[in-house]
Amino acid sequence: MSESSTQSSGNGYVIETSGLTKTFNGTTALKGLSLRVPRNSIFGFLGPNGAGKTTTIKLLLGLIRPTSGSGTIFGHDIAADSIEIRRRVGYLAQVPSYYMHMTARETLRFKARFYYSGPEKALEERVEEALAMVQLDDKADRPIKGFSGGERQRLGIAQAQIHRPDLLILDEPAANLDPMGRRDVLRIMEELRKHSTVFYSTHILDDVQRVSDTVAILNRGELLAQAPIEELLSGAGGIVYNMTVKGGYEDAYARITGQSWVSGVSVVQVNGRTRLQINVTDEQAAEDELLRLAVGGGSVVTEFGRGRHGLEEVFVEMVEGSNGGH
Amino acid sequence: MATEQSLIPAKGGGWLSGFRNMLRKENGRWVGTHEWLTQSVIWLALVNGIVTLVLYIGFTQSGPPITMDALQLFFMLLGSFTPFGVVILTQSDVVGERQSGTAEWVLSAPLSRDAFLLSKLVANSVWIFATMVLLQGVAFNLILVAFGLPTVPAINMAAGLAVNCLHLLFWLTLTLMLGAAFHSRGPVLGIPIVFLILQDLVAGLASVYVPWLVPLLPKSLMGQGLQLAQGGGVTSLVPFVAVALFSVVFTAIAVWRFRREEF
Repeated sequence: MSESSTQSSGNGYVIETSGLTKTFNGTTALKGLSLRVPRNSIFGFLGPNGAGKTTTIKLLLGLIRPTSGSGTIFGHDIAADSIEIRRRVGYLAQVPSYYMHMTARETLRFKARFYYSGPEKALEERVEEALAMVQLDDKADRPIKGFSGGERQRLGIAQAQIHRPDLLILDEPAANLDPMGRRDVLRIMEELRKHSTVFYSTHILDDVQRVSDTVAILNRGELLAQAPIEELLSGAGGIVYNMTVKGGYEDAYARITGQSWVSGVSVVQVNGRTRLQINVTDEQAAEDELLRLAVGGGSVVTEFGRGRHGLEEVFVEMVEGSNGGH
Repeated sequence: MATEQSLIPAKGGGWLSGFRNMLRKENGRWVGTHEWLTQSVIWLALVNGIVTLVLYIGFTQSGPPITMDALQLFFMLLGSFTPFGVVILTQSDVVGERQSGTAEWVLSAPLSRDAFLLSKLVANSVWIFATMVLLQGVAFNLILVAFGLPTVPAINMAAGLAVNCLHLLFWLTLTLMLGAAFHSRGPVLGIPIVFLILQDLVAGLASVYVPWLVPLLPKSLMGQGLQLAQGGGVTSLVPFVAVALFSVVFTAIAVWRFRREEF
């Protein structure tokens, strides 16, 4: 728990896996995953359904055993030291399950007692704080069986962080939630980051782009990419500049495409203006030359700047690439 | 925050990590869902209800019955009915938690798999013995008092009931083992029930072809329990040792299997 423990194995990474592989009845769900999750990051673990995200999470928590490969969390082996790891990890399952005869308060009290032996007053205070954080304090004493999906999800986050874990592992925390519920969950995740590293799986790319700082993309059990999100977005497809031109753009287009450091230009007409997306191989040349090349011949540049690819674009490109273009 | 300073981290890891908390939860289930009351009422009706009825009929038709006849009936009903209750009551304990996802949830906390299983065994044993056996023994003696019959001495009754507890432990651990081994309720419920129903047939056949097998069957304990309650001695230790050994082996297999379970 964060009060008394160090956050990583000493090299700045909370989770490290090497060649982690899991096979179920001859089908390989995870192929040689080598992952590094930096301390205090919000790490988005992306992939389409069936990519192996939940399998990875279960391996990390010791709920299933690796077929081959290894992994550590806080320097502890995921197969041999699972209980020690679980003392410092909070987990929210994709579909949170609780004992239905318990209330939300009883559920949190029950979960907290795995980590703390007392005193009762302090334990109750911690439960109250958790209920308030997820805005369930007014429903604390109602049986869980009457809770909506969003309320169960929020209770799931509360129970996952009841012991202020060094690492939170959240499996699709915002799936099946309405936009308000998603917004609440993302807000809570950003709050939790102050104390913990957050490792979460998702296929909702908007959420990843909003809150994550590091991303890994998984498809068919294989890791396609792992990088800080800025690096992933700017690095994909080379360097890109966006330029909006008023008036004729043809001359500017011809001059720009004639440069050896320009690898491609796409043209989109928007509200009577022309938007050029220019892919370049030489950032310095682009900074120095692009504006000069665009001006003249009746065209006026109204907007210009370094562009970035959207995460969805990067994700689709990578996943389709690994699927062989299908 | 203040709580950060004052909360005391739970101590103890290893194979029983989380046992106390899980045991508290299991006991809470018996109390919170009024399962203890339900079971008490069911077995009072099924065991002592029938004893009362038979005593009443005997009393009105052929004069005062004798305590020893009532005791025999009581132990026969107790030994025959309660194992079915144990199997039905506990068949979903492990399978149900696995299917609902609560097992995965609690095992993501620092709870060992052994502690998960053993907390269920301990809590169920205590509450089953209390509601299905001990309470019934006390109620039986009260019924004898109500009919003006001499009661069974407490020490004899306690010895007879203890044997019944051992008998139920066999069925409890068998069901636990099957729950750890199978992923659906069918075999967990079906195998013990079929065994219970066919036990008389198996005992009959065994007495002819493999006589050494008869005292190893859990049914053999029932007669020993009655003898002790009647103030007699134990005629053979074999049924006691066999049932105790079976219970230990079933528990060990359950633990071994559950450690390998994937969620």
